[in-house]
This record gives sequence, C-alpha cells and structure tokens, in this order.
Amino acid sequence: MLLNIGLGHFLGLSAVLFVIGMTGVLVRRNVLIVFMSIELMLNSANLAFIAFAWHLGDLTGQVFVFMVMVVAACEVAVGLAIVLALFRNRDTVNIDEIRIMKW
Amino acid sequence: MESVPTYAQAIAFYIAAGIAVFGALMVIMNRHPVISAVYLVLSFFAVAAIYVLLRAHFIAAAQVLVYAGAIAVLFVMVIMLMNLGPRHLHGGRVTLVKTLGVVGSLSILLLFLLLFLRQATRLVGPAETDWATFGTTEAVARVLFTEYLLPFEIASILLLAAIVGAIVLARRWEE
Repeated sequence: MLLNIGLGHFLGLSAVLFVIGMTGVLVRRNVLIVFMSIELMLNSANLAFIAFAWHLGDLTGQVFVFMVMVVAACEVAVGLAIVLALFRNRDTVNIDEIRIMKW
Repeated sequence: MESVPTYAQAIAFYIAAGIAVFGALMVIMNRHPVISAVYLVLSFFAVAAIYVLLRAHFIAAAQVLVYAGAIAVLFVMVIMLMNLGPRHLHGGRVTLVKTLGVVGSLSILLLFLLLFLRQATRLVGPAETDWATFGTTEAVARVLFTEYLLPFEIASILLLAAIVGAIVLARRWEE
C-alpha cells in the first residue's frame, strides 16, 4: 500500500499542495505571497491532470497542462504589472489597505 | 495505468513529494516575499520531478522553464523593483479570518481525500498505450499540432495580449 504508489498518492499530494496554496490565499495579507499561493494552486491542478493522464494512458491531460501553463504565465505577467502599478500609487503591498473596490 | 512501479519509484515519489510540500509550506510561512519566491522554485522543481515519474517528460521540462524559470524570475524582478522595507512587511495578528481560513482549508482537504480519491482511482482508461513514447516531446507535439491546433494558436494570441497588457499596466505614464 505505502510502497505501491498509484493514482491516489499523486491525487493526495495534489490535494495537499492545493490546500496549502488556498491557506496562503486566505491567511496571508501580502499581495505577492497571495500571488505565489495562486501559482501553487494552479500547479497542484496541473499535477492532478498529469496523474490522470498517466492513469488513463491519454495524452490529452498533458496538452491541457500545457494550456494551463500558458494561462498561468499570462496571469502572472498581468497580475504582477497590476501589483506594481498599485504599489506605485498606494505604496503598500497589504491587500487589506487596497480596498477601493470593496463596498 | 502503467505496470507495477518499482520501490525505487516509490522512494523517489516520497522524497519529491516531501520537498514539494515543504517548499509550499515555506512559501506561505515566510515573512519576506524574496525567500518565499526561492522556496516556490524549490516546490516547482520537486513537482517537475514527480512529472518525470508520471512519464510527462515534456511537461516536466516546460515546468522547469516556465514555472521555475520565467515565473519565479518575474516574481524576483518585481520584488526587486518594489524595494520593500520593514514598513511594508509588518506581520498581521491572528484574526478570526486567519483561523477560519486554516480550518476551512483543512476541512476541504479532508473532503478531497474522503470523497474523491476512492472514486477517482476506480476509473479505467483504454488498455492499449505505448508507454515507451508516452509523454515525450514528439508524442505531445503530435497531439498538440493535430487535435489541439486551434487551442494552441489561441494560446499564442492570449500570450500576445498578456505581453501588451503587462507593458501598458506597468509602464510609468508621463503627465
């Protein structure tokens, strides 16, 4: 059971990484670390895709991971540009202090 | 599913998984974002090792190039541009939101493990798979450039839009 690794082990690792990322998004107030946690969550979703591609013997999952990577790269580029612009205007990285769009 | 994995693969899995979880925990526990970025690279590298175990060689290389390379460098560059001081990095107190965040995350982890894993592992795929070439650059490229050609081209337009958007957002506009 422990030494005979299968799909469940990889999915469990994916779930653990996802929950660590989610905890980071919910708990941390530094916008950069929130961003890194979002990357962790995307990465754990990729791991689940790859695990299923291996389990089912189908390459579609790997192609989908490629697309997720493209979207993650775009998201980081635009997101960090927004963070940089916000930092120039407000001089803070604390998301509790950036609340113009919060009613 | 592939034939029985060896014990060496199991040991490699546990080492890589431990490093990935450790790196992820250090990302969310460090105060300074630069240290978090370095641990993020560690976690991404460990996940790339697991991709190799899962016979996704091309994706593992792309993971190292895109995640551990480009994204991490982008993070470090932005942190460097921001020039954060102790004033920006004051830690927060333990609030109700934080406690609820941790508790909620852990219960969702339990939900994942209890509800989905047993059902997911019962899925069975087609039996005939050529494991010798599964996940190589050639095999992935063949699928990518035939069956998924349109999504691939749309991804290039998305990347172009992201480049333009990032430049427009991040540049300093002269008054």
